[in-house]
Amino acid sequence: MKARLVLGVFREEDALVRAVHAVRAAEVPIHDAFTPYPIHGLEEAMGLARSKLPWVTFAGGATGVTIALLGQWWTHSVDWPIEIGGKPFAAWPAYAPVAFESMVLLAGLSTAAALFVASRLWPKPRPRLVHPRRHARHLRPRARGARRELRSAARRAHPARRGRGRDQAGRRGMRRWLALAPLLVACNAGPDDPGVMYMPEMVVSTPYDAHDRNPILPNGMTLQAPPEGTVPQGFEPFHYALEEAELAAELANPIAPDEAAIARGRAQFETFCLVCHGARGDGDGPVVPPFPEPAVAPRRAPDDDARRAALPRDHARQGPDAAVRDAGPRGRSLAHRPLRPDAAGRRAGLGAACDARRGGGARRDGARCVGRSAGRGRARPRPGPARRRARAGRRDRARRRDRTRRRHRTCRRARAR
Amino acid sequence: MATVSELRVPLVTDGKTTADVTEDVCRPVENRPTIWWWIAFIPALAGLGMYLYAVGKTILTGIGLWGLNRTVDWGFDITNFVFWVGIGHAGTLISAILLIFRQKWRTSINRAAEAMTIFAVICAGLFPLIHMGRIWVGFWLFPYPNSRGPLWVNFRSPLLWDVFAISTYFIISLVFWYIGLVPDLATVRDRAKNKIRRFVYGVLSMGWNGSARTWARHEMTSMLLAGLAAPLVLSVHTVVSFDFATSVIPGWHTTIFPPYFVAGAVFSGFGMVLTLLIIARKTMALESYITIKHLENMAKVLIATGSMVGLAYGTEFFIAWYSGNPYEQFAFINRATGPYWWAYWIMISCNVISPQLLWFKSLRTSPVVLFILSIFVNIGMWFERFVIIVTSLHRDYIPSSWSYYTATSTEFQILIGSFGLFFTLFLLFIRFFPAVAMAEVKAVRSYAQKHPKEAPAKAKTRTKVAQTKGAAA
Repeated sequence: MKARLVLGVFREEDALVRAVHAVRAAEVPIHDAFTPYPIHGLEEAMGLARSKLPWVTFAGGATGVTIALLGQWWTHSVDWPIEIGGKPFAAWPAYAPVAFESMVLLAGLSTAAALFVASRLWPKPRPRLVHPRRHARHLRPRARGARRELRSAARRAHPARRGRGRDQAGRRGMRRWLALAPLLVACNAGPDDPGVMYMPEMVVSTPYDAHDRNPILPNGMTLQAPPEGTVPQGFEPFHYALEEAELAAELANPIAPDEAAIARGRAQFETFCLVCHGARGDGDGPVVPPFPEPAVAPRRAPDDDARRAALPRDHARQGPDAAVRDAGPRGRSLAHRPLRPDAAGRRAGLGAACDARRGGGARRDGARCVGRSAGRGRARPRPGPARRRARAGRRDRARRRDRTRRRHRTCRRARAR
Repeated sequence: MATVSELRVPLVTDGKTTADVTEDVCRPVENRPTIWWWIAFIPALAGLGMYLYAVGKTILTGIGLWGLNRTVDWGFDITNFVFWVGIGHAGTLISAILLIFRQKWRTSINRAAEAMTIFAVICAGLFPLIHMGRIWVGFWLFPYPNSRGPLWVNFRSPLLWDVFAISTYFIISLVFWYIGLVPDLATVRDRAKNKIRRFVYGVLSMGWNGSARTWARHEMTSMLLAGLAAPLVLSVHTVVSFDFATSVIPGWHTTIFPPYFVAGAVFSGFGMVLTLLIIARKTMALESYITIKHLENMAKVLIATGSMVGLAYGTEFFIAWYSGNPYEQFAFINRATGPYWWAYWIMISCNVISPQLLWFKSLRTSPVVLFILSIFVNIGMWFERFVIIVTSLHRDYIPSSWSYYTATSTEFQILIGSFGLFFTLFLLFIRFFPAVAMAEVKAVRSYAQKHPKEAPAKAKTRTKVAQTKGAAA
């Protein structure tokens, strides 16, 4: 179809507006007017309908408010009802700021998007119907059909642009967007495939929370009760420091010193104590020359006399029952100090000393590397299955392994001497 | 130049034509930068380098590099954040609120002011991220279905409202600015001499063709966005003030905070707009567009908002006395006379006393005086935030935990460096984008000055009526 066109170029805005009025009065349809700046009164002159953009703004804003209010209510009342400062889960006034911001955000973005879509603006290097000087100075209304004519004029002026019609340009724009689509599709991984993960530190290894239900452990709890007899942290076996006489009154040995008890004590002593302390408690057990200092020897008095004097034998024989409990590991001079339960090995020595004097009793866990077999083998009794699982934390294992290694190293050195 | 209104000073002086407007505004974009641009740009770039260094060090080492302690756990970081957010407010005020009020003088400054808003919000938004220590998990601030529970954010916390307010403010400001920029980018595109420029500005201008329908939609969009941005800008600093006002710290727990913060934000923002525009009009030869009239109008805003801020300072003291709350009273007496007295009095002299000089017309029409005063306003408003944050914290309820906060060199580097970031972005903006909204200036340019005979019969402004009468006579 060949369209007739009338093209007018105007230098000033009032001339343009007057011309538009005149053309409309003559009932000639006006295709469009291109101006370098908005001219007030031109829309009315051209009889353009009022833009429907405010409806888009309204819809966007209403969507924003609705999503924000429902989303906040749902997360705090349904999905994750957590009490904060005694406030209600559905704290509607506190939801107002986020709802307002969401309204503004969605209303603004949808308005802007609607402007670009309605005006068919998208990133393209050339406008339709470009004329290099239009935006600078000239104003022109155009009759319907002028576009094609102008385009051919432009083709003549710029042969390089030949063959780039509007439809083709539109399709190119479409294709450009389609080319972006795979990038977006690539984000859509399956339910078993998280796709790209950023810093999955809390995704890959999810430990059970201490108070969570735990399907793995037999009693269904993550935090296990400590095994019976566990010494609490900060526990002081003697919460007082008494003189020996007072201790004697308070901590009397309940086991009668009969033959059987002494025999049991002898057996214990020969098993656990003799290797260092010697058969008579002189500190000359079989391991003593290579083993640097028997556990009983005071470190500040390495000479034989002092060592012998510090041995618990006489003290144990003559002193009160309670004094023995402390005498073992550290020497008599420290006897009245409360013993810290942190050194398992020392406690073992204490236990042995105690038991020896009582003539038997329960064995206690701890470092018996020296006492049992001169440093061979594991010093630890095998814990029960529940306890083993409870201890399965990697850090704990590493710590235990290091401790055992250290202990064995000590023993190896002792043997080497 | 035909006639000059007796009623109104023309918005654009020296009888500029539309072609002149295009030429003048596009000149810095199309030519090599001037020596003045380089003189400003190189220190700004150095500042940006320092910023990146100090922030990088903080991120790699941790915020232990800062002088914060158990008692004062917000220092320069949050001070800078509130300061930069406040700077941004003037841009939105000029572009949105003055548009709604049909203040036509805004047209030649709104583009630069909006750009300032965007860059200031960029500076501001980085500070909370940096001060949280683990910037790489900053996206946890946003509520999204995640594999951590899903662990939702606490929508009842003002700190989260901040996340929404600042990010919405940034996005809407950017959109508003860009939509206003599209027609001007089209002008630059049409004038482009080489292929690269034609392509880049072509893509950026989205194929704008100046159709009357598009202009109608564009005007409508600007109006709608202005209507959205005006309450938004008020909400942003209100929400920022909630960070403080909803806590129970004496000196923070005040209902006056939202209006007080908004007034302070506008005050500081106009201070920064003045600083920037006085430099820009001089170095880019834009005196005909950014006229003394514009500077004077902004100076009047400074007096108004500066006085509001002064009123707020007084009200705080009055309420501290009137409430009979000893903690509140102590907080304010300590603020003015305690260990941070110097910060308080810098704030008072810069924010309350110095703007009062602008009552004198000779002072508020002098660019040099305005420039100096605008720097004072910037300093004073930074100290206002420092005073509010640090003096309220450093002496809390338990005297045994009272302490004194001294910023470390890293914090000073970040503060000065953030100005480097801001000015780098701003200078790149005036280098590559039209710094004055050409289309809007053309629309308000006093057309009748040059062509009195073609003056419209039905004039819209009193200016034009006067000019028509003058022409007829």
